[in-house]
Amino acid sequence: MVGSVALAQDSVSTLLPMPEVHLQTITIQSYKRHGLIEEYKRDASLQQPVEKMLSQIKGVHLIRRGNFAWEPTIRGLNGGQINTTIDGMFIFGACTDKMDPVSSYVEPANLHQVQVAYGPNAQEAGSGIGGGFNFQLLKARPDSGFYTHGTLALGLESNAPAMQTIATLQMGDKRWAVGANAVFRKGGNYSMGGGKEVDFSQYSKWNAGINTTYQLSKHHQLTAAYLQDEGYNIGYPALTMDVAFAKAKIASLTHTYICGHRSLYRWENKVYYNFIDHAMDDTKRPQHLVPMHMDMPGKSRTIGAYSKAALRLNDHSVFNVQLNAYQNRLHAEMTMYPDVGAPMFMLTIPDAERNSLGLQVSNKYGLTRFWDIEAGFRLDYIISRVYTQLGEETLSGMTAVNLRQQRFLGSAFLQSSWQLGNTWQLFAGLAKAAREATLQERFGFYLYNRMDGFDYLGNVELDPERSWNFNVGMQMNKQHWDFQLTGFAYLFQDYISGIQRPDYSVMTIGAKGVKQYINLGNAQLFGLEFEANYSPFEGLLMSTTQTYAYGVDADGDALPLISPLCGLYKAAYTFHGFHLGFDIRHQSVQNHVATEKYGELPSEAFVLLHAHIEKTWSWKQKVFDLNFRVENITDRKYYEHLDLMKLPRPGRNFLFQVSYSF
Amino acid sequence: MVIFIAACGPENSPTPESSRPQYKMASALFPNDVQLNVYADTNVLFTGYNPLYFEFIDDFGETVSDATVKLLPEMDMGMHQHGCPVDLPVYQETEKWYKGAAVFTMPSTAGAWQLKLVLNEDTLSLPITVKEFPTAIVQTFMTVAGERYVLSLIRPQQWKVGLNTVSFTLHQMNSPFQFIPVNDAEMEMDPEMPSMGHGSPNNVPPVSVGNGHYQGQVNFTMTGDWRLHLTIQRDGEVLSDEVAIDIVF
Repeated sequence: MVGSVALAQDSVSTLLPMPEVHLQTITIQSYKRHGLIEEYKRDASLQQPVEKMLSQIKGVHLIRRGNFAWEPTIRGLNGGQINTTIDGMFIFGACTDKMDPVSSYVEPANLHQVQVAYGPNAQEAGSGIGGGFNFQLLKARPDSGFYTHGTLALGLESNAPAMQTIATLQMGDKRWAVGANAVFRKGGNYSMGGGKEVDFSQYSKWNAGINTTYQLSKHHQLTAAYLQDEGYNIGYPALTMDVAFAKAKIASLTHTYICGHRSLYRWENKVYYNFIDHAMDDTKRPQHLVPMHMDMPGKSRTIGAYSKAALRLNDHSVFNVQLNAYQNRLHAEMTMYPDVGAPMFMLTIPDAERNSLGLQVSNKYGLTRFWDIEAGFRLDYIISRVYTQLGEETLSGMTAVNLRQQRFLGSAFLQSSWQLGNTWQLFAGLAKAAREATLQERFGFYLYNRMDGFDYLGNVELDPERSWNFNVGMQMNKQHWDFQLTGFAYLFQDYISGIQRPDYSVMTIGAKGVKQYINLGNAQLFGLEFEANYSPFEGLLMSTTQTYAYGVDADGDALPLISPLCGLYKAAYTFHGFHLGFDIRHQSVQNHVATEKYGELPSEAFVLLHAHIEKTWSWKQKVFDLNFRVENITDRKYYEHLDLMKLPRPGRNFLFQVSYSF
Repeated sequence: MVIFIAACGPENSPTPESSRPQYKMASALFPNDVQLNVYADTNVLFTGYNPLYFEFIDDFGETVSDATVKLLPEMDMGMHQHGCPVDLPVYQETEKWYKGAAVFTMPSTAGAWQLKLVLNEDTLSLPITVKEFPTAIVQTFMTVAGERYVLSLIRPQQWKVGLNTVSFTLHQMNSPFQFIPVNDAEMEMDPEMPSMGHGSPNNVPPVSVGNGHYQGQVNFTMTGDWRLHLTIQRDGEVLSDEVAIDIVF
């Protein structure tokens, strides 16, 4: 009567599992048998923000606007091109300046796994072109006997200075389990390489989650989960405003049916609700730099449900069906206070609503012992509209077209892998994907984009962005080493981008002009990813990850926010509970930019050095862990290509982390 | 029962006061026992365009519907007197009153306003108070050639964010008491938020709809202070390019 959590992908072949080509899974916390919690640290402990952990994943690069809430991108795809879900639940940020990506509302302490998908595939929760992130929450499970487990952790950093405190607790018995976790994080202004302090880079937040599972019967489980995450006084030095607060409330109720020996072996149904309340703040900036004080609150509310079933049709075939539906409402407003005259109020996201109903069907099939294929398709019915009269009135002066839009969107994928001998695997895949324009792209009303200095107007007549995705690669596994090389291509049609509207006057004081979203035509994104691991003897592991991407739009101009050649080299040595690690991270120059069109500037190269030493003591089931880490050993002043306004990243940072698990 | 029917009988019975949304501004008695009730859309008369409704009830208790009604506002400034532009009162079948308007060019602080009404051959003068509207909505201007014009925003109006219908009146002042509606002018309208220095797109310039009235569309992208810059031309000649009407909502 063990409630099991599926850790690995359902694999049909008895040989090596299908390589994680289009889906990468990082485990943060998980259950072993008998309820023992084991923490997996991948150079990102519970103390580190979740984005730092994401940046270790190949193809993931973070857009940085401050020292908090970085926006993850996959191979340069971002925004509406990728889906971000928490436990399969759709959730959308409330900030018009993208200060609150969904990843900023979860903590590693909440998480069991993070799944990163690179394109449409079986795990996909919605229509998307570049895949997306799913943050799977950790839930306490009933177990064969009564158990209590927990973790207490503390982190301190010299560069900010910053601190983190974490506590988690799980208790369970045969029929029930309760889990709770709480995190408090706070940081002051950080200093860039060279010692100069970066003003307005402070943050503080707390996060608390509780979940309870009840075993209804042998195969049925009911789980209720609630997560609340609140950030206060968060600085964004790359932007002209900071955040007064960013609050999220995420609730869900899930019914799970697991019966390993039947053909319908897993069926999960969930209903959920989440609400994000966000407010920007310009009062902390020097008054002479703020042309006019403004209040800019935003709200995002999503309700939804899904039903997912996995069927084992025979020894060779697993069939996945997923039905999901959600409604997201976005409201963003701005009130400006001039020195002389009445306050000015406008909606910047005029009460926009998206309704989506989707069906996904996929099949993983072992054609032969050496040949697996996975194929599937997805159909979504999407209605976009403005749900208040004030919202309709706001856009009445911009377009006479009916604001309500409904359409069907389809995507399909095919992925295949071949096993050659004992060491080689080849894989290839293609997908036809489509994504609807985001509510900001469709209904946005003078949204200021810091990167190019333009006010952006939505376009209710946008067509969906479509693409053909291709991937091909190989993997080699030997006793002491392995490597994987992947090539990918995304061929876009109707790429959504902004075009200048010289006949429109700006709204934001100081903006260079007004742009409107249009379907720009074809665009292409190509790239390569290489990963290798080498373990000459037990205890020593050396690995490297190299990524490269290249993007052009219909006019032959470089796509924005594409990272140049980036690499990570890691060496880790484990012995007697000690864990020593040394990392080198590099980024080469990025000169492939379109400055005039997208406002992007070239970036310099850099090399960073990190090192850490960790000692773990364990006796019985208790684990005590001490970790001392130095980041940016040479105190190098640097920024990554995706960092807005070339905001320098932190200089040398000493981190001290201690955790105790029982 | 019979008395009731007689009292409710013919179609010309006046509409009960309580059912009117307008405010009763004044009541007076004409020499021939005709009662005059004057209504307006707001309980205070302001400078600029004010719709006025004139209800005449004869001594039989029936409304007068077939008389000639003239509206002649007059301001006494001591040294001299002058009138102001009007919309000629026209009988409205459903509400049973005469609907007109007056464009008061000045408030009562500058002199004493009287509403002179002529019903067929009888005349009646009513003193009224006109207050200055909080924003600039009426402007008198002079052309290079020395002609005087009066432009007013038509009120009252419930402004909302987005596209609004906006209307103006334009009259030429031939003499202190002669204001002729102008129906052949062309207008350009440029909205601006003075505190931000930006305008708005997709506005429709006002065009003549007769009786000195002009109708266009203004796009208010947000609430706050707006200034409508008007350039008025007639026969290819620019009458003024400095007319500015202020709206705040």
